[in-house]
Amino acid sequence: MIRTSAFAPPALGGPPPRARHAEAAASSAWFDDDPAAAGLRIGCDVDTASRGLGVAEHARRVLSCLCQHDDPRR
Amino acid sequence: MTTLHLQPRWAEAAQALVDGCIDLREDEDRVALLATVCDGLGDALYPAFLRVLALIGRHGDHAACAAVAHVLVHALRTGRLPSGRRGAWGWGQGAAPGNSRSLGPLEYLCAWHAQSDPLQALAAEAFQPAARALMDLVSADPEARQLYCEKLLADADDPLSGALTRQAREALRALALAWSGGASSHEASARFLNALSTPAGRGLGPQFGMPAFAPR
Repeated sequence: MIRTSAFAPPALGGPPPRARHAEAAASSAWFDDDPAAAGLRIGCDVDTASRGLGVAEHARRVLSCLCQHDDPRR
Repeated sequence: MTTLHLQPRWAEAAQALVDGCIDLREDEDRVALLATVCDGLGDALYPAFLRVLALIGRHGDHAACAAVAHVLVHALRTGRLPSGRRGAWGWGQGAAPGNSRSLGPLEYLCAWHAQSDPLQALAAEAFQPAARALMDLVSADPEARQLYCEKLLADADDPLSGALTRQAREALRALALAWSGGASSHEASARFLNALSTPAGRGLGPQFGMPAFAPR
C-alpha cells in the first residue's frame, strides 16, 4: 500500500537520511504489485452512468478514486 | 493541497479513464481529459497517473488499450502528451526553483530511474514492469507506437532540454531504436537498462549525473 506521507515533498534543506531511505522505498512502491489487481480485466464497455459526461466530470470520476484536495485553511 | 488516498482505487480509476476515452466524442476532449487528470494530480502525484496507465496496459483488453493509445496519437501529434515535471539532471539544492522539465510518461520513468541520487531513483525492479506496461499500452495503436518512438528519438537528440543526462539520452535512444524496430517491450526496456550500465556510465563514477559546474 502506498502511504501519502511517504510522498510528501522534502522539506527545505532535504530530509534526514532515514527519511530519504523511506523515500527511496516509497519510490518503488508506486508500482508494487496490487493483489487486488489479480484477475482484473479493464474493458471498454462503458456503463450507463458514465455515458454522455463532459471532460470535467470524467476527470472528476478518475481523480476521486485516487486523491483528495485538502483545504489548507481548515 | 492534493494528497493520495490511503487506499487509492487504482482499478476503478483505470476503468474510469478508459470510459472517458471511449465516451468523449472528440479527440480534443479526450486529450483534455488526460491533461485534466494530470493537472488535478499535480506534479507530485504524476506517478499515480503512470500507475493508472500501466494498469490499463497490463490488465486492459485490446480495445481498452487501443482507446487510450488512440488518444495518445492525437496528444503526440499536437504536442500535448500528458506530462509531469521533474528536476533537470543538474537540478539540486541552490538551483533555480524553475529548473525542472516536463516529461511524458515513458521519458518520466526513464529519467526517474536514471536520476543521479540512487536513494530517490526508481529501482530497476519497479522501472521495467512499469515501462513494459506503458509500452504495451501504446503498442495497442501502431501509429501511437511509431509517433512515440519518433518523440523519444527526438528527445535523445536534444541535449538542450536538460531533462536527461547524456548517458540517459543514449539509453533512451537504445530503447526507442529497439522498440521502433519491432522489439518487445521487455527487450526494449532491457536495452535501456543495459545502456545505462555500460562502462561509459560507470566510468564517470559518483560524479555521473552531477552538474559539471556547481550551481551558484
